[in-house]
Amino acid sequence: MLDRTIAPPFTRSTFFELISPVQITLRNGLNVYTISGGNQSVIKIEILIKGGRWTEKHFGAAYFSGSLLSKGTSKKSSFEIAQIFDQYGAHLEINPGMDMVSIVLYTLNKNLQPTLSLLYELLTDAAFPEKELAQTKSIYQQNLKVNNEKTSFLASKLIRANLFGKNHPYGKELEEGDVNAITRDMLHQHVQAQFGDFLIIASGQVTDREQKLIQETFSNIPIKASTASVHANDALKPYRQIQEKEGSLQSSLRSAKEIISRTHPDYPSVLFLTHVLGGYFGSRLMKNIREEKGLTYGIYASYNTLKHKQYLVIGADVNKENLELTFDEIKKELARLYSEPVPLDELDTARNHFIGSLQSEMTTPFAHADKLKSTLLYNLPEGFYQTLINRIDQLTDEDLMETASKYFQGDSFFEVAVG
Amino acid sequence: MINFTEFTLSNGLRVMVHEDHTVQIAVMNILYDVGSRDEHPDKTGFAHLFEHLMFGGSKNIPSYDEPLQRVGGENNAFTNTDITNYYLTVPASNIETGFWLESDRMMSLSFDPKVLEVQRKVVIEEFKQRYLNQPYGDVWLKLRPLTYKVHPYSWATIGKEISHIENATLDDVKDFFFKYYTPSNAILVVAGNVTVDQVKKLSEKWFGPIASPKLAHRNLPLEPKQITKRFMEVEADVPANAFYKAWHMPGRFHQDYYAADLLSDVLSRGQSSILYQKLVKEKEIFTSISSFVMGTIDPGLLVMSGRLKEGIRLEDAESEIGEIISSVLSSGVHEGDLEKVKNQAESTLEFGEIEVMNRAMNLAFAKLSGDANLVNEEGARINAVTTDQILSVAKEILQESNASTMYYRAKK
Repeated sequence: MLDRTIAPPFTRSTFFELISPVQITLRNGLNVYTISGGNQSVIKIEILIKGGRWTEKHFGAAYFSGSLLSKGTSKKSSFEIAQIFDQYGAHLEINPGMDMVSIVLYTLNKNLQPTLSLLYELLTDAAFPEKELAQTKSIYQQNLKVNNEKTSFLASKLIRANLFGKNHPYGKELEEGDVNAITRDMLHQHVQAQFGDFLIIASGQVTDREQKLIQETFSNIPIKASTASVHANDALKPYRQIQEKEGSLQSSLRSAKEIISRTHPDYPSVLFLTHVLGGYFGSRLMKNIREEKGLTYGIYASYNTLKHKQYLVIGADVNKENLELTFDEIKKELARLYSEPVPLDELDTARNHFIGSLQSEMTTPFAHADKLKSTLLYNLPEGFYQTLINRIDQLTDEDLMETASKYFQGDSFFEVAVG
Repeated sequence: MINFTEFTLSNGLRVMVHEDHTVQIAVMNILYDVGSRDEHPDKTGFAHLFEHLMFGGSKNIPSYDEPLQRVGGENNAFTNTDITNYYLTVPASNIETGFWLESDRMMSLSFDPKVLEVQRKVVIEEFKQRYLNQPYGDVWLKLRPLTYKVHPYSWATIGKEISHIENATLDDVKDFFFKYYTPSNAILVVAGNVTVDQVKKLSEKWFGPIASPKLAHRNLPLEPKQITKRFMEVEADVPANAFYKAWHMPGRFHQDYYAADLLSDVLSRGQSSILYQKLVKEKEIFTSISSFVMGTIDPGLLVMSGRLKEGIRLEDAESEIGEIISSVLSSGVHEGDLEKVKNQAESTLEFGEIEVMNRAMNLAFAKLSGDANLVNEEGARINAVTTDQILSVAKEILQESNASTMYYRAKK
């Protein structure tokens, strides 16, 4: 008779291997990294431009120049551009971010040539037609109004403003007036100054043919270093801010603080503590706030990284009358991290889960490319992920308490709630 | 092309194996053939609430998540109108943990009243967070009862109203479990770095002993053909007017499904599509617009929805859409446009197969049609669609008498 109360034996492994990228430097100095894998005839080309919000002279120039790259060149209208990508079943994604502008082309291998050469045209010859800019602005304004009705959007915006300051690139958000002030000239200026500094990561089925196509397409594009920007933020003192939003049924809350970078020696223990606190379904916040008290659909803690800053953030949506209780419970859970050792059972589970999910992520060439991207963007050392896993594997309950008392003091967190 | 082997246990559990030795993981997907369409009209939202209870411990295992996390696994689940689907990922060497956990909760739940109390609250918070505390979040709560008068698609999977979730009892939970969570009502797919032999042995070992009671036959009321157009107007505290229109169309496994799906693609897929070019770019009536099919197993809906540019009247937006539909009905779709959306569909299918978990889910769903190989035939079926077929389904579907329109007005 099968005894169902006994768990089957299991194995654990700390092995983590990334597909090693092939790096080529084209004659113009452009670095191209390729990661080949997978059985499907698909390829993803990501162009990472060092021209995000951090590098702007005019607020919003990165967002709008990025978004408008596909809205017209001197030879093609936005319709013609869309028509070509759609015709080949290709998909273009442009994400203008805080630090980088990322442009991603997803295509079947057989259609790489025509879509890649269109991508080249967008990068070198974007025209930013006046009409397209006006349309994009007006759509942005409406989306902004809709987002401003969402408590979660407002809370995320407010926590960054309080954490980094309203004038810091990471602390501000585009508002109506900023959008109105954007002109075509600003977009051209931004592209001139910043879009010449980029790299390419190709993943999926990348054979000699694809390599060669990329090389032929991009080896004449002028590459030049972008201008470096420096932004300082004021040292702000943590406080709590509650913002009323009429008619809302729930409040979105956020607790956050700035934290050490990924290359700091305490990073593995900080990251792992974040996991224990609110990084997975069995985490302490989920157990306490959701599974025991039923106060929320979900609560999380995460380590967020930007190029020049990092922060920890805890977030949830709860009923207004439970806001105080939830803030208190978050503080209690933070205190528990440095006042009591993590029980060994919990330590094992959280550790195995952390390592296992990192390993399980790596099922596609695209996942490998994402890890490479982080390595390149944040200048992570060789073997970063394997080292991280090894370090987490060796953490003791004492190490964790020590790190927690250094970084997880409740009064070091900024708190906001909107609702 | 997704290779697979299938077999059925004596208790009726259908099992499929898809080997892929290029990944280090194994995945398990269990589809239960039960969704919100199987709910009683006074107890809606129950299938989804029940999904939450499936994580509250089973007969021999007090916690579902903890032992899975301990072996480095991840899991989740979703419920829709037709199915409830559970899936997990583990390092391949630990796949037996998945069998242990999933078979125990198929055998019996713990039926702990505390779990029901807590999950009831969690689901109510989910209801508020996703449907009530979001601009436009309640659209489907209102549009569904307009489009379906007798079929259970007339309520959303989250439920008609919060009170139904508040009133759920432990007896309801038990009835539901013993009726629907049986081996013969489930499809199990194991994929990744596993072998057919291994999965056969483990399936027999863990799922084989589960008894299968006779399955209650599904007998849902058919939605009668709609013969007059329907209209509804809503006013809410949102920043912009929004427009919704839904037409009845065939279900997911019907032969005309692909033509209807491609029709919606021709209308709105990508920025070169007809609706986007005409109504967002040229005439600036909408700031966003899309059309899509719901893909439900019973006859479904083709939906158009969009947000209006400030200052545009809903009546004018509707007549602009009407013009485009008339021109499709009178001259059909262009050969080139059909070619384009077929290429897009080909690409979507290819990209959709990159993740081994997706392949497992697609296999399970295809098996629900009666033939798992549907998963490998979709490409050919899509390619076979002609412009004539699209015109004929368009004429069938895009009639005013078959449509429900909703004006979602921004309160001034």
